[in-house]
Amino acid sequence: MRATWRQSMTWLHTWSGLVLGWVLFAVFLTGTATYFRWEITHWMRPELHASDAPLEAAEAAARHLEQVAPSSPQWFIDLPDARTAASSVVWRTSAAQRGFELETLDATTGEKATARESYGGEFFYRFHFQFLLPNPWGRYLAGVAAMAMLIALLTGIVAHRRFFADLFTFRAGRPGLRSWLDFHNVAGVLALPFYLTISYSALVIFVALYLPWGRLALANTATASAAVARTTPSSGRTASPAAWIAPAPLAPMIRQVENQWGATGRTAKRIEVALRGTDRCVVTFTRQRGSDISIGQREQLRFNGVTGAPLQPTSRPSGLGTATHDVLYGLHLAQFAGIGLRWLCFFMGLLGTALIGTGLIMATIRRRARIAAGDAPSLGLRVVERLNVTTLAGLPLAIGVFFWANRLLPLHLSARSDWEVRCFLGAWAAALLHAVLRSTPCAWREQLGLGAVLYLGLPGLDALTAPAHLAEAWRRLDGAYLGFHAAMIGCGLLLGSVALRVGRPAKKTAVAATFAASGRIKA
Amino acid sequence: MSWFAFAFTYAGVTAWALAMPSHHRAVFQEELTPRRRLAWRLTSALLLALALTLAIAAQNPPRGSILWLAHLAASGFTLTLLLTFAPRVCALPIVVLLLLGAMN
Repeated sequence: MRATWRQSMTWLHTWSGLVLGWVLFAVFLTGTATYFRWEITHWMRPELHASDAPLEAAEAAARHLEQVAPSSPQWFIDLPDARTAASSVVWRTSAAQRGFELETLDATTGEKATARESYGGEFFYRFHFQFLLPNPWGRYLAGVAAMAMLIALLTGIVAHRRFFADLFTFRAGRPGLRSWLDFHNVAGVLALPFYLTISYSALVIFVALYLPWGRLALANTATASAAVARTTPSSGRTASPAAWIAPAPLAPMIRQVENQWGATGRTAKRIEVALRGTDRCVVTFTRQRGSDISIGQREQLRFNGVTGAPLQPTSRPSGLGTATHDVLYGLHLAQFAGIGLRWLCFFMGLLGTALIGTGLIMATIRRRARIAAGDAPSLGLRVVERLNVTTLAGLPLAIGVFFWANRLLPLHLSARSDWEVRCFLGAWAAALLHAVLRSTPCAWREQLGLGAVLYLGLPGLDALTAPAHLAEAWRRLDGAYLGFHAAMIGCGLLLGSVALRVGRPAKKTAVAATFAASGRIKA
Repeated sequence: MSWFAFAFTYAGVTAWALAMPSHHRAVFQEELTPRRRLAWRLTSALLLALALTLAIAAQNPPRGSILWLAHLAASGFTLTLLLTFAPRVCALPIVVLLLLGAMN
């Protein structure tokens, strides 16, 4: 199909990058924000007060659950830690149904938090692999995108084979392709191990969803008796509901956990009370994650839920496959990272976003350069150019609107979290409309410019709408809150500087000349 | 400790760039001789190896090597921008990072 192997690889690089490029850009941008998921939540729900006594919060949460869900068969309690302010409780509404209820609790009082409703950083986390699509379609799309990224990375190594000779070279301000290509090369090479790890581990996380047959084959060979054992008691229960056996109080177990793990620092993070009301009730305390990369092998303490007596620890069977999966999963989440490494990951994520963005832009520059003077651009090119504006400039703009909506929507609006998301989607749709109606250079300038204004204006907006929280953050030198402001100002400056540079109509002859002269990438 | 590892990574990356003719010219305004090229390359390899050792000593082998790769990316990008816009001060971040290391 193509004359040489390298030309084939270049063709594949161009098309895998172009077809999934917009999805990848969105995944990378929102995924990068996810590194500061809880810090974003902290800024978006400033009314939640931090607690440094997670086990006291556990007792308060248990008292609350005792009142709101006394006959629920299953409780989950997530406890506050250094990065999350509130406790959250989830309980199953009844044994017969699979419905769950969720509440965020004030960590000190244990009462339902009165903080403004917002998904906070959770929105970015969910969006970066689900895109607000119904399950499992978002995850499938994320898988296709991750595969395209992996292909684009590997073929990119072949396509841009001279990147080592041009390393650390950024010829800024050159017309046409040169500056973009330099930036694309530098961004691509420097964090290549990061991109490879992120896209490969993304595939591995949902491997059981993407390639379910191995697991199905194993399940078929497993003894059918296990399935029988699992179904028999529950069917018996629905026939004649057994008498409610009162579970033991959690407070004495929490004391024992405190003796083992301590009251603060790396102590309990999650409590699960399973099979409440039966004689097989079990309480499991899971410890705060340490500095291990792998997400598997978390320390647990288990208690008999009826007598309150400690149970023998169960060891989860872990083969090489599971261990590898858990390490790759842990690498992707980067929750082992301290504050320094987390900022570095955030930076590399932005670099990856810029890598995808420059790739998308180069695709249009190259095609523009090949159009003879006087000819109209093809429909395909015009569509790509407009989608580029909508994604590269429109998505940051929509995220800016999302943050503004958090401060501007009435505090006690019902379904407030959903309204924030609607503002985000509305802004993004408006960006698409704007990109279609305006000429492309104007659309670039205006959307990037507006994005810059939104981000740079956030600290001011915060001072107007939440002065008490801002003052409190300054008084306590709250790193997460003020760090959010610093990051927003940084993003605003970045968007502003790009707005001033792009969108200036480049001279077509110069573009063609550089393209012909460089000749590095031939499509 | 991590700041020192970062400083050595940045220094190693800078030495790597100085072993390349165009960057050498931009920084020193003179041509790179083959002898100097070898010297810069050796310096670079030595500094980067030292940086990796420091990062591992500060953490543990897996976490240390992850940190080193992240430092490498951040150093390379900063250096690229400095070589473009202010090549004469491209070594300045070494001083900043060493000071940060001394303060912590």
